[in-house]
Formats: sequence, C-alpha cells, structure tokens
Amino acid sequence: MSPQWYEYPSLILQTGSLARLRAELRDKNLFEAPKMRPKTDGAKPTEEVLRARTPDGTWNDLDDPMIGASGTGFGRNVPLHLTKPDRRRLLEPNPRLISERLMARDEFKPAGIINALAAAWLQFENHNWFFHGNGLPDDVIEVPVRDGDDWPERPMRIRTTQPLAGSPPNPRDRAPLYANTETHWWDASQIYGSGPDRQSEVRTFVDGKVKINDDGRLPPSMNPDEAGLDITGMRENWWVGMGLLHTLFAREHNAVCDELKKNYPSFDDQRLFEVAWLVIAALIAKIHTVEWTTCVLRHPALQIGMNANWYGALGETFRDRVGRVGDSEALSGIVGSTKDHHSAPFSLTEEFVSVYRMHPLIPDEWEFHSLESGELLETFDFTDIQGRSTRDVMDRHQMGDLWYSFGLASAGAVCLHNYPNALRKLTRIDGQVTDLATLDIVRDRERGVPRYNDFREALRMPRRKTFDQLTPNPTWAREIYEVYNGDVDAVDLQVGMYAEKPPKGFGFSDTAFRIFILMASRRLKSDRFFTTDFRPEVYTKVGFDWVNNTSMKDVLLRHYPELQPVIGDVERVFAPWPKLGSPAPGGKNPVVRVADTVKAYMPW
Amino acid sequence: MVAEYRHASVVEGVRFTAQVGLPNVVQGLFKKRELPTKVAAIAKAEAQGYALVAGLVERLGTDPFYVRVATDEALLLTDPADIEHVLGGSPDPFASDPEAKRKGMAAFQPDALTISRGDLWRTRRAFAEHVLATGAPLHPLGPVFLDVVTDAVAGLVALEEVGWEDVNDAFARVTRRVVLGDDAAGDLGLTRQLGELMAAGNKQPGKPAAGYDDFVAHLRTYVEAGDPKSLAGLVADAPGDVDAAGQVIHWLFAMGDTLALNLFRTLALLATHPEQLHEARAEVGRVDTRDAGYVAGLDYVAGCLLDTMRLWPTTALFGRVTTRDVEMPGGQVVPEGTQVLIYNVFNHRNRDRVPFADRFAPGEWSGGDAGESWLFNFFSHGPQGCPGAGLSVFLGQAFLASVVDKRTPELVGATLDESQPLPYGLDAFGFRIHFLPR
Ligand code: HEM
Ligand code: HEM
Repeated sequence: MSPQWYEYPSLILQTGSLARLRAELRDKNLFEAPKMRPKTDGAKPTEEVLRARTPDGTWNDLDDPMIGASGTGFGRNVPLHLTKPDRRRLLEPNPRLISERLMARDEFKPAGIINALAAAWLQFENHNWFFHGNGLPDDVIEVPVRDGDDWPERPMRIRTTQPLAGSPPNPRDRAPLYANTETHWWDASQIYGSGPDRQSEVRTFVDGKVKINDDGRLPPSMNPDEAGLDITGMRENWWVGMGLLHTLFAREHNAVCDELKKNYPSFDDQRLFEVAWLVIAALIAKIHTVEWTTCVLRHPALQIGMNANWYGALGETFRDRVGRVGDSEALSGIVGSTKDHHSAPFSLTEEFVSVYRMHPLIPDEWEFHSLESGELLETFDFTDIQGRSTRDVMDRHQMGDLWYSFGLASAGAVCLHNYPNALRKLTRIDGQVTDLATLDIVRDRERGVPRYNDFREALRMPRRKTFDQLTPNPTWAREIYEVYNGDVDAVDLQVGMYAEKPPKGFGFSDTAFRIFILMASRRLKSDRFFTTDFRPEVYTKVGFDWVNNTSMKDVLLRHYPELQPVIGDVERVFAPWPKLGSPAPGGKNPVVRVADTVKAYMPW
Repeated sequence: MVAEYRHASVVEGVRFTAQVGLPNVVQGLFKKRELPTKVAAIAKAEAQGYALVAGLVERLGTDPFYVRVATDEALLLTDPADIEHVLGGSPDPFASDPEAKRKGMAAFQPDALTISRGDLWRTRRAFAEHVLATGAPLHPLGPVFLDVVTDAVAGLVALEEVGWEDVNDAFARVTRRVVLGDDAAGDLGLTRQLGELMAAGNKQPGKPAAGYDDFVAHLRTYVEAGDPKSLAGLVADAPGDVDAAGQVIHWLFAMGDTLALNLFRTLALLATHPEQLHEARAEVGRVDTRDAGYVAGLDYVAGCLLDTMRLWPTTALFGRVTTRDVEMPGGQVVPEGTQVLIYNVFNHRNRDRVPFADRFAPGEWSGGDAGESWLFNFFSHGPQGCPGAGLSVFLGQAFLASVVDKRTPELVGATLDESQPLPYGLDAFGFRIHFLPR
C-alpha cells in the first residue's frame, strides 16, 4: 500500500495526496439506497425558493428539490452490501462491557489543543446536520448487564432507531433506511429548526428577528416536557454549551437583521429573516471550516486545505473579491467553484454520523470562573449542567463568566478510557437513563455501519491484522484483545478510532478524518447557497460582506464585549484561552497562563 | 498633572503641510478650478492625507496632537468628543475665522457670517436662521422650491447625458430662483460675477476684490425686490439690522456649487450601486413626490446625499482658532491664537471608528445613528454649523427623488466598483451621467 497522506515528506506532496484522496473518496465512497427520498413531480420553483433557503431544506437543488430535505434518508460511504446489519452479533461482544472496560474515563485526559467551546461547537454542528430521532419506545434492544454492575435496570433497554417511514423494516441484503429528522444541509437548522412549525416557534415575525428576551437570553420553553430548555431550532441533548451557542447565534441573527434593515429599508419581515438566515448559515459554515477545523486538525496541510475548502469552494465571486487564496498545483484539486454532487446526490451518511460520536470531548468536571476576578465560582459535575438543570445554571451565572470558563477548559481527548462518566449514566429530560458509550456501540451495529477493519478497507485504508497494530499503547492493545476475544476483525468502529494514534496535530483519528475530508467539502460543494448562489445578488451586499468579514471572535465580542481582555489578543478562539489571575489592586487582571498552553494527554 | 498634547515631528509636519494643507489651497478653498491634471493629483493627495493622519494617530494616539502646518503648529482633532468640545464652543472661544479663510473670503464676502465674531456673528446668525428656517422640518417655501428643482431635473434629463457643467449651470439657475426669485432666473451674469470674485479669493487677498461693489449692488436689486417665492422675500421679516446682500453671497455659492457638486456625485454612486438605487426608488415609490412634506420625509434619499458628502467631503479640512487660552476636556490648555484643525477626509473614513468607512451607506443615516455623530462634519456641527443644511438636504431630496423616479442613472467615463473600498476623491470633471429610461 502506498504511504498514507501524512507520511509524504513535504507539505506540497501532502496537500496533493489529500486532494487525490478526496477525489478518490468522491468517486468510490458515495452511495445511496433506492427510495431514500420521495420522487418529485416536476414542479417549478417559485420565486421564494429560488432566492432563499426553505425551512424543510427542499429546493436547494433545483433539479431534484427533495435532495437534502428533512425526513429523507441517510446515504452511505460504504457500498450497500457492506451495510448488512450483523443481527447475530448485535450484542457481541457485550457493548456494556466495552463501555466499562474500554470507554469509561479513569482520569480526565485533556485534548490540550482545543477547549470546551470547541467541544460544544461540534455538538452544535451535529445538530445542524443530523439526528436520527428518539427511537421506538416499544421496540427495544436488550443488553445483558453482568452481576455486580451497578447499572439500575436489568437488562439495559435501548430503543431501536426508527426506520424511514414506508421503508421495508428489515431488508435482507442491507441495512434498513433511516431518516434524518433535520435537513441535511449546512443551513443552521439547529438555530432555525427543520421544518416550518419549528421555524415559526423561533421567529418573532417582526423585522426578521428570532425570539430573544430583553435580558439577551433565549426565551425558556414553556413546554413541561422541555423544562430547562430554550426555545430554539434543535433542543435535543441540551446543556449549558448548547445554551451558550444557540443564544450567541440567535443574537447574531438579530444583529444581522438590524444591519439589513438599516441598509435595505424596503425589506419586509420575511425578506429580512431569510437573508439573515443565509448569512448566519454561511457564517457558521465558514467558522467551522476555517477556524474550528484548523484548530482541531492542526496539521499544516489542513491549515491550507481547509482555507481552500472555504475560499475555494465558494467560487469566482469570492476569489475575485478577496484575492487568490493559493494557486499551488496541489490545491487545484480542492479549489472548486460550481455546484457538484460528485458520484451521488447529496445526503449526509450513516458513517458520517458515526465518526462524529466524539463524546469523549466532554469533560466530567466543570469549573466556572469569574471573568472579572478570575476566581473559581463554582464546580459542577456535567450531570448538573445539562438537561433540566441547564437554565437554572445559566440563570445563576453571568454569560461572560460562562463563556470564559468554556474558553479556559480543555476538551477531552478523543481516545479510550476517556468517555465522560456523566454520559455513561445520563438522565435525559424524558427520564430515560442512558449509557451513551454502550449506545454508541449498539447504534453502529444496529445501523449496519461496518466494524473497524471493514470500515477501513472500504475507505482503502489498511486493515489491522493484530491488536498491536491498532494502537501504540500496549495496555490498550491487550485490553481490546481481551474484550474482543482475540478477534481483531470484530473490533467496533468507535473502539478502533479511539485506540488509533492520530496524525500529528490531529484531534481525532485518521479513520474519522477520511469521512470528514470527503463530507466536509461535500456539504459546501453540493449546496447552491455556498457555490453558484454565494454572491451579493443573493446574500445582498451587506450580507455577503458580513459573512466574509466576520470571525468567531467578532461574534463573541459583538455580543459579549466583556471578553475583550481575555480574547482580544487570542488568535484561535477554539484553543484554550489565557487564564486571568487575580487583579493587581486598581489594575487589570494579569494573564497567568497564555492561550493554548494546556498540556495535551498523550497515551502513546 | 495633565500630560500636554503630543507633537508630530518636523518631518511629519512637512508632509502634513504638503499632503493635507497644500492640496486644499491648490484645489481652491472657495472656487474649485478646472485643473484636470491637478485634480487627479488631488485625489491621490487625499489618499495620502488619510494615510498620513492614520499613521499619526497610530503613533500619537487619539488625543488631539500638534502638527506643523507651514510655519505654525496647529492642533489636529480626531476624537468625536474633542470635536464636539471645539465645534460646540464656536464662535467663542473657538472662532471660525482662521487667517487663510478670513483673507480669502474678504475678497467676495467680507461680511460673511462664517468669519464674524461676537455680537455681529449673533445678529447675522439669527438672520440666517430665520430666512433659511434652520432646524425646521420643512422650509416654509418648500413647496415652491420643490417645483423649481423638478423643473431643473426635467431640463437635465432631457439632455440624456450630463457633465458637471450642465449640472452646475442647472443648479446655478435653481439657486438664483430659490435665493433671489424668478426675475433672477436667467441672470447668468450674476453667477459669472460671483465666480470671478471667488477665484480672486483663492489668492487670499484679505480685502474685497475688484468688482465686489458692483456685484453687491447687482444683488441688492433682487434682495430689495423681495420676490415672495424666494428667500429674498423672507428678508423683510428677519430679525436684526443686517445687510442682507452681504449675507446672501455665501448662500449662492453654497447652493449653486457645493450642493450641486455633492448631488452630481450622489448620482455617480447611485449609478454604480444597484441596491442603493433600488432602496431609494422603493422609498420614492411609496409617496406622492409632488407633496413637499413627503419629499422632506424621504430619509433614505437624504441618506444618499449625506453619505456622499461623508465619502467626499466638499469641506475637506476646516478649522477654528482659539480666541484665548482654552482648557480642553482632558485638562490640557491650548494657547490663544492656536489653529485647531478638523480633517474631514480622515475623520469621515476613520476605519477604527467607522465600520462603513469606505462604502456607500445611506442606511447609516436613515436607519442608523450616523446623524448623531460629531465625527462627520461636512455640514460642521454646533452653534456655527451650517444653517443651510436642512434646506440643502431638502433640495437634494427633491432633486434625487425626481431623477430616480424618471430615469436610471448610468456612470460614463469613470468606474466606481462597489466591491472595492471607494476612492478618496471623485473628480466632477472626470465623469458624466447618462440617463437611461427606467
Ligand atoms: C462533543 C460533543 C458531542 C458530540 C460531538 C456528539 C455527537 C453525537 C452523535 C454523532 C450522535 C449520533 C446522533 C444520531 O444518531 O443521529 C449523538 C447522539 C447522542 N448524543 Fe451526543 N454528542 C455530543 C455531546 C453530547 C452531550 C453533551 C450529550 C448529553 C447532554 C449527548 C447526548 C447524546 C444522546 C442522548 C444521543 C442519542 C443517542 C441515540 O439515542 O441514538 N451528546 N451524539
Ligand atoms: C451641500 C451643501 C453645503 C455644505 C456641504 C455646507 C457646509 C458648510 C460648512 C462645513 C460650514 C461650516 C464652515 C466653517 O465653520 O468653517 C457651513 C457654514 C455655513 N453654511 Fe453651509 N453648506 C452647504 C450649503 C449651504 C447653503 C445652501 C446655505 C445657505 C442657503 C449655507 C449657509 C451657510 C452659512 C451661512 C454658514 C456659516 C454659519 C456660521 O458661521 O454661523 N450652506 N456650511
């Protein structure tokens, strides 16, 4: 097998290799099962759907308006025959055992390069992209629980994932079809909701704005089933991290509306709303691509690749305005300009969902610090800053203090023995108690996501023949061997990815990265509003400039200017922020730790 | 102990004199002369002027600082709070008659309000405010002036394509009708006389130029006739014992040249900014533009004119001179006789303070708070701010509303790229406006 991309000796060769890798993935790793989205009847697009995004994600693609719509099926990155769910081995080895023996956090292992804000950000984005729904309460998978396990119920009951309405429940040759309850597009549906009903709930219908209370917070949900949650587009798995980010971008939306109304007094509520929505969606996608990704994947080739991804994929207009972003031969494969679905119509995939199950990013212990004095105000277990407790905690603390605390804290490393124990015993707002680590394993198996070696092979990565090849950490290798009874091909995708040593500077495994590099550019390339229609005529000049000129730091400082002393000089807001010490009498807080110096845990 | 204001270096002073002081003199403080080669150099000089002052502010800070202009040290203001202090304190202790201005103006309007001090200023100011209806939402003669402007627009669009001279001529006629009445409508000689006197003013002679007495006598016939459908008709009821003819001169050139130039440039912007044109039209389309009250309410259209003046201030640099030692807000004392300079070219585009610095942003005036900022001084501010601002804006609204309602302006002979920062200068002789049918 030829060298892996990061094994090439120079940056140019590496970027070139990445570009080829992506092209090959585009050719060979996009599949979809029949009937995953309804046929359309040749309807003609109206003026409304031409000029803006629609709540349910229809009409982004004018030739096939159902592409990417909410409620349509997930695609696949592996050939369909490889997705056959392994019902016989659904519980082999026991996923709860995996949770206990391989996943459970013994001590917190900090990622070092990224902060808790970056962890929250990824979940925020996952909610932008996908959700499989809450499962079928009456159809459960029963996981045996060993004697001596302190799990509260026997057996552990996990709801099965609801299949796509109308699809055959158990096809023999491949996995059932599952629907994405969210739009597949990178359209900020976590803020605006997928579908007209949810969207109406968040809108004020005045001046294009979304609901924000006078105190600058999202309004609380009045639904008793949603106690502790905010009114926003996506409300699943709610906690303080979601509260912060949803509030921030709802406020940013309203700031965009103000600016648009000022410049375009002729715009009515609907027009202001839809343009601001375009702007916020693009801004979030840009921040994700050029700020979050380059922080999580701190490899020089990615610093170039991701910028090219954004600035390149956006096409002529942007390049002409902002200038050439890079003209090396190596980049020409990445930089594109017109909308292109490559080898299959656009949808997010089951494998994409799987590789983003990065729950170890979440710390268990949370310290809230004062932005003013630097002092420690309160410590929490994750359990107490999530679900029903979320609003209470946010009411008790200043938003500035919360942001500061999130910026300061390191995210967890995505590796074995670092799964937050709070999520291994998570009380959800509907009362279900879930071991998410167990569930992560079960879900992949249930949904026909191949196990680690088959998954790698499908991506043309070398299979691992021995346990020692899985990880440079010999203890882990032995533990995995034991749990999997020596069958290296049985190793689950999550376990294999957590055991891997990531390429230098990476916050997650190279295996996950393959899906990532394919799908990240696809989310841009397939979307009309990031390609052909990313232009001032569609976004308005003011909206277009807003996207291009705004960074995550700008957004934070616009709404929380009190963060200026901390992040004013910080280059990467998704890396740990500098720590403030106690103030000198009469003076401003000295910085006692510079940004980005949190030690990373290296298990190898 | 209050730290004294800092000083720019001698070299910086030389450059400031060359890049900020001189261009304003070369260009003609009072009458813009047609010097095609120089004009191009001036636009460049203004860009250099911006860069120079931006560098000074970066080095010396946002507090006022001293910079040498030719032989004197002048205090340069860039912070709106300092500007408010100074312009709010005019004409005393900050008089508006620095030497160059007084000497130049003496040639054609020795009695001008803007170079008056003390009681003389107060009576002349009250007179101007009465006749110009300063601060009123609509001038009492608004409906009459609306027709005058609409007539002029009809004449201009009939030409299909116009250059600066056409617009200047049309506005000279509007001005004669508005200020002096319909009898003066065709009096081209009067406008020519004014132009010659102003050209003489560029040499800063310090005394009335030859021909001044004839000119005033000529003017006086109209003022005394007092056409009730013109400003002259309001003179009789004005307070104080003021020789109106001496006051009216300023009005003639401010309206006929300055306002006209700003409107011509606004057309260039509208021609190259489809969104702004669309908004202006949408606003105009909502009202009956034959009604002066509605025209005065066209806020976005007004914003188009105001933002043009922000981008290319016709008063690039202006100043005050201290009448005694004055204490500034920070406690620093500025000695008597010090020139205090306000450099609009820099302040209006100060990228550290103005988020919309280099783009055409009418909405900042109609929907934002640009109107409250003391940073923008194309009309100046404070007790000695332009008393004709309201009237100017109204005439501008009438003009622009009428144009965009009838035609689509197209820029000919120059380019303005809305996706790039707008240039620091826009030479009125360097472009023409073509009127396309809507
Ligand atoms: C680093 C942040 C997080 C990431 C990247 C992440 C990622 C994911 C992904 C990819 C899924 C699969 C979704 C699907 O099947 O459609 C998932 C499911 C889930 N996550 Fe997370 N998550 C994060 C944080 C959290 C937190 C903080 C909670 C709890 C408050 C949580 C609770 C859940 C739950 C309950 C499920 C549903 C499992 C199921 O029934 O299938 N996650 N998460
Ligand atoms: C767009 C057109 C105009 C502009 C840009 C303009 C600008 C200015 C500026 C900057 C000043 C202050 C000068 C200084 O303090 O050195 C001023 C003062 C003055 N303007 Fe205007 N002006 C305009 C139109 C008019 C019109 C149409 C009139 C009268 C009909 C007028 C009458 C005056 C008078 C009388 C003063 C002196 C005020 C005083 O010193 O108390 N202006 N103008």
